[in-house]
Amino acid sequence: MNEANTAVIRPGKRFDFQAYRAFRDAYELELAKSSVHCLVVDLQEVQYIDSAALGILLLLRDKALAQNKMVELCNLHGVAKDVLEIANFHKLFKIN
Amino acid sequence: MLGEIPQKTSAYLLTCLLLLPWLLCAALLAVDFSSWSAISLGALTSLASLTYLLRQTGKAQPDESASSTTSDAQLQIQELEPLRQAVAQQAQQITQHSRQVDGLLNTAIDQLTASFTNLNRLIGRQINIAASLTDRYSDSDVSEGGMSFQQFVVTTQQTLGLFVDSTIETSRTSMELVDSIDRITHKIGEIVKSTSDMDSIAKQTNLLALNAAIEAARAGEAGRGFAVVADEVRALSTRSSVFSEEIRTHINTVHKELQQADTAISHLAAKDMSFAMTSKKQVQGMLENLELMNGKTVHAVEELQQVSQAVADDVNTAITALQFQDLSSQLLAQVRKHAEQLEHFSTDLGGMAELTQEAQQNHLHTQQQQLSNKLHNPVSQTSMHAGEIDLF
Repeated sequence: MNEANTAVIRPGKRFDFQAYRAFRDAYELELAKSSVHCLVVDLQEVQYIDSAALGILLLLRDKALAQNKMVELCNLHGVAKDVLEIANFHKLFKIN
Repeated sequence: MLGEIPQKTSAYLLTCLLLLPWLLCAALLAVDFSSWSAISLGALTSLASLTYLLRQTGKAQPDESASSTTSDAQLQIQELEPLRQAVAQQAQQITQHSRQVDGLLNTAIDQLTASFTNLNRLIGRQINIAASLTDRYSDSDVSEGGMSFQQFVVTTQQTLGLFVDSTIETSRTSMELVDSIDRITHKIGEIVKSTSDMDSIAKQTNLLALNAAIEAARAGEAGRGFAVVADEVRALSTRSSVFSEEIRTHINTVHKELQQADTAISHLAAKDMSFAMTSKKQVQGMLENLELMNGKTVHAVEELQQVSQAVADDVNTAITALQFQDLSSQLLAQVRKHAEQLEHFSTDLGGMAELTQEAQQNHLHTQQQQLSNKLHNPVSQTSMHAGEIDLF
């Protein structure tokens, strides 16, 4: 997996329901590109995460898989890390 | 007849010989020899000494003087009478005391054995209770339909996991609904756009109708019918505008409803996940505490079990050791036999005075032989260490 076919999406400080539409617009733009095979969600800036964000990520995963594309998570820390662990996301996503 | 000096020597010797065994007995007692053995030994030895003295007295008569009379010997025997009685008394005392000791030992040992047996039973129960406790704490499988602490915590964790999963699944579905709402909103936008198209068509139709009406007026009488048609067309265009306005009003309502649905979905989807984290940490903490507590409890119970086992072993040793009662009883019976022999002998001595000298000698000889016959000792042990007990 090289840089060229990897797209990175960076949610803001609050990764929640309100952030959905912007996030969706961002990833739909990337998924629409046939060159992109892997979407990396960089959670570096995220300080708050709620269940909506988890649903958003799962939905993203479903949409990506429908197009045979991968979703990876990276830079997990703090609350986001704890929440994703409780949700057992390490079983669903490749986490870097 | 014995002379002055030999008589004194004889008395002196007698005293010494009778005292010496008892001194020996005292010495033996001092070095912790079995007390009854010592007493019986002392009694036996003093009796042997007495026999010896009597024999010497009997022998001395023919040695000293061939013409010694029977009355001299009788006198000797009469002088020894108090001594004989003392020995008989001692022998009776030995018999009596040994019976007392036997009785005391019997009672005490019966009680001790009963106590120890009961103690053993109680310790057995204690060990069983400890074992059941250990099983309960260390075994996660509780068959009686109850739930162990571990199971409870594991179940709680699973329930929490299921809850988290369902929360996330709800959020995911909600997000799909948001997508749907967005698509509907998009479609509504298109519908609104269509209604504006309808409006412009209605406007143009209206204008066309107006032009037609003007042209009809110019035509005069010939255009009157056409004017009516033009009016109808204008009316239709106005109705069309009203319809599209109504559609817009409905669509606005739908749009507002959709916005409300969106808000409702956001409430449904956006759950603060900190509850799960807090719960998980609490459950985790509880589990750790429980495991620590269980570990300590199991350890303590196991220690208790070990202590109980040690006590049970000691009690068993004690019960085994209490069988020394048999040994003691047999030894005491032996002591009584010795004492009976002494008693018997002293009784016999009492009847000797009436016998002739020769008969006396024979009698003493027989007695000596009887006393010399060693009684069979059934007990050879001197200590009661476990493992050295011969049961007989």
